[in-house]
Amino acid sequence: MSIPKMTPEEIEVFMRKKTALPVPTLLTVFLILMFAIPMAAAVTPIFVAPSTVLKIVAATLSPFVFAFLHLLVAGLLSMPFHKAIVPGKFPRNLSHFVYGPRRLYAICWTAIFYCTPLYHAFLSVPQTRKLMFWLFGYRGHSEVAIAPDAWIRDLPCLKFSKGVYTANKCTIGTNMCLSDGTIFVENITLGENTMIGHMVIIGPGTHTEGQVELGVNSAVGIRPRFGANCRVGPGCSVNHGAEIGESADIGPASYIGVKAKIGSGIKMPSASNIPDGSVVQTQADLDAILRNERNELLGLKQTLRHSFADRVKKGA
Amino acid sequence: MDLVENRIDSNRLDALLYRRAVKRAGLLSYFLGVGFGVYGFTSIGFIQHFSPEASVWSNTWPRLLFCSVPLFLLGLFSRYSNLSERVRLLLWTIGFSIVFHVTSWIYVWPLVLKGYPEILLYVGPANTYLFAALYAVVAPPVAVLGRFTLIVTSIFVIPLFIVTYLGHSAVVLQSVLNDMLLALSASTFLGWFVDKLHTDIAKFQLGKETEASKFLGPVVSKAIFSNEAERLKSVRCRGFILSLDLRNSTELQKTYSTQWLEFRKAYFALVGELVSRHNGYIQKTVGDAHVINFGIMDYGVDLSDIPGIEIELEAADNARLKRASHSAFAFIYDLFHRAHELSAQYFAGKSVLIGAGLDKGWVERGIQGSEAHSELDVNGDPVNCSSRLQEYSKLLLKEFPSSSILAASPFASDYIDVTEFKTISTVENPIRNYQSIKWVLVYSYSNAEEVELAPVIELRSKIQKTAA
Repeated sequence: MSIPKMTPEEIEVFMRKKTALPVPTLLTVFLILMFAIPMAAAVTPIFVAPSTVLKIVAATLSPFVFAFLHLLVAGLLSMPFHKAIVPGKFPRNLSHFVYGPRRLYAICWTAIFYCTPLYHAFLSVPQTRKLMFWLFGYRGHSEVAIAPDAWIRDLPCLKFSKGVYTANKCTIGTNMCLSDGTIFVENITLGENTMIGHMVIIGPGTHTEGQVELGVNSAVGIRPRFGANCRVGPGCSVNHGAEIGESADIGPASYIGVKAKIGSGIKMPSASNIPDGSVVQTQADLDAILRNERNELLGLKQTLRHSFADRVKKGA
Repeated sequence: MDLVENRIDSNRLDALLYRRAVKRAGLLSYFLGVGFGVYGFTSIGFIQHFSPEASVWSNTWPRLLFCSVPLFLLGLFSRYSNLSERVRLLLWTIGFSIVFHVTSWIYVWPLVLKGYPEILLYVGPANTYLFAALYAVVAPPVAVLGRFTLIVTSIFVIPLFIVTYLGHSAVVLQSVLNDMLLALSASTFLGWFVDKLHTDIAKFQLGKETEASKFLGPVVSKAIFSNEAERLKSVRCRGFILSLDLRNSTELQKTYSTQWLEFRKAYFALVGELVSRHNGYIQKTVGDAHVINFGIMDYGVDLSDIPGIEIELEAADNARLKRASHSAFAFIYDLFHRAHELSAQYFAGKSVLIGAGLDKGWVERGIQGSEAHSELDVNGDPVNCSSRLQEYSKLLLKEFPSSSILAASPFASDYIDVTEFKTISTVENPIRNYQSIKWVLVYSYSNAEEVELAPVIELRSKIQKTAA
C-alpha cells in the first residue's frame, strides 16, 4: 500500500481509491460496542446475582470485567484493520481505502490510550500489556518499557528490540499530517536498549541501532538513522534524513541539518550547528565547520557594530 | 578456506548456528508431534499383550493431549518466541525431555512397575531411533552439547533407569542400561559430527559472503548482507559521472603484452583505491575503461516525498554536490599524477595517457536487469554525455600532446574554481550527440614522454638500421 515509486497516473489512482466500508457509521458503532458490551457484562451480574453477597462480589469485580472486556472488544475490533497500518502517504479522507480503515483502527486504539487509568493499569501488568499490544498489532519485542504518557500509535509500524525504553511524555511519531492534505506514515525501528528520553519527539522512519540514547527534549525529524552506541544530548534537533554514525556524541542543544552525516566516533561540543547536507567524517571536518560558523557570526557581529556606529554618528 | 575463516566474525557464526539449531528443533517438534500421535495406534498391539483392557482410544488420547499438543506448542514457541536463540534452545530441550518423560507414563512405565518390565524391550528400538533423530536433526552447537545431553539424561534417561530397576528384572535392566548408554553415546557423537558439518556449512556461507562483499562493492554487500535494502531502492538524484579510458590501450597491449597486463592490473587496483578514498563508486568497467560516479551512492535518505522542506533539501543537495564535485576533481588530479608514476615504473619512466569525461546531471540509481541477472546501476543523460566527453578528449590531444586529459561539461563546473582549467570551444568540432554543448573545461596533465607504441618502435629501429 505504500507509494515509494509510482508513476503520476498510478499515484492519482491510488489517491482516489475508495473503501467499501461505511467508515463514519462504523466509527459510531465501534464506539458504542466498545463501551456497551463491557458495561453490560460488568453490570448484569450485579442485577441477576441471587444473593446480596454475590451482588457485592459482582459489584467488586465489575470494574475489572469492564476493563478487560473493553480492551478485548477494542482490540478485536481493531484486528481486521491492522493491514491498513502500513507505511505510505495517504489522503486524509475517510472514504480512502487506507485512511478509512486507519481511522477505524485509530478509534479502537485511542479508546484505550486516552482512557489513562485503564491504559496505565494494562501497561503495569506484563500479561495485559502483552495482550494489549498483540491485539493492536505490535509484533516487536515484548521486553520494552513504554511510559503510559508516551504517545504511540500505529502499533504494527513499531519495530522495537529488546530493552527499548521510552520515557514519559515522549512522542513516537509513526505518522505525520502534512500540509498537502495527506498523512505520512512510516515504521519506527528502535534497536536493542535504545533510550528515548523525556519529552523527546521522534518522527516517522526513525531508525536506531542498539544502545542509542536520545537526550531529554530532543526532536528528531523524518527518516534519520542513528548508529549503534551513539548519544544525542539534551535539547538537540536532528533534522530529516540526518545520519549519525556509531558511537558519535552530539553535544546538548546542537542542530544537525537535513541529510547531514556525522561520522562514527565524532564528539560534538554543545550548541554545534551542522548545516544541511554537511558531512562530518573526522574531528577536523567538524572543527572546520564550527570555525566557519564562528567566523560567519563574528563577521555578522562586526557588520552590525559598524552599522550601529554609523547610525550613532549620523544621529549625532 | 583458512584465510576466509580468519575473517569470519565468531559472533555472527554463533548466532547463525543457534538460529538454525532452534529452527531444526521446531521442525522436529512438529514431526514428532505427529509421530507420537500415530504411536498411539501402532503400539496398541504389544501394549494389549501386557494389558488386555487397553483400548486404542485409551492409548491414543493421552498421547495426543500430553505429547502431540505440547510438541506443537513447543514448535510454535521455538519459532515465534522473542527470547534469544540460546534460551529458546535450552527451554526447548527441557520441554522436549519433559514430553518424552510424560509419554513414558502412558501405559509403559506403569506396566513396568506392575511387574511387566519386558515391555521396555518393545519400546527400546523406538527410543533409540528417537535419540538418533534428536541429536542428528537438532545437532546442538558443540558449546551446549554437554548441557543438552545432561538435560535429556536427567529428565528422561535416569528416571527410565529408576523405573527399570523398580521392575525387578536384572536381565531387562542390563539390556536397557546397555541400549540406552550405547544410544546416548552414539547419538552424542552423531550430534557432534552433524554440528561440525553445520559449522563448516555456516563458515562456508559466511566466508562466501565475506568474499562476495569484495566483488559486490560496499553498497550492494551492505544491502544484501546487513539488511539495508533501502540502499537498493530506486532514487532519482543529481550527481557526477566520470568516464575514464586508457589511451591506445589496444596498441599498447599488442606492443607490451605481459608487461601491459601487469600494468593494467596495477592500474585497476590504483583506480579502486583512489575511488574508495574519494568516496566514489565504480559503476562499470569495460576493457580498460571505467565509469565512476560521485555523490550518487551516498545520496542518503530520499525525502523527495515530504512537502514543505524544499529549501532545506536544496541546501542539502547543493552541499552534497559541492562535496561530490571536489571528490571527482580531486580523484582526477590524484589519478593523473599516480597513473603517471605507475606507468613510469612499468615503462621505463614513460607515461600511459588517460582520457576522461565528466558530466553532472539527473540520474536514476536502482536495480536493473532480469530475475536471472540484476545489477545496481546508474542511468541517465550524464552517463552518455561523460562517455562522449571522454571520446572528445582524444581530439584535444592535438592541443595537449602527450597529456592525460579531462574534458568536463559546463554543468560539471558549478562548484569549482575554473581558473586552473582551459576553456575550449566545441563549435568547430562538436561533441558527438551533444552539439548543444558549446564549450568544455579541460584539465591536462603532462609530465613525461608518452609510452611508445609498436609503429614508433619499428620506425625508430628502421631509422637506426638506415643510419647504421
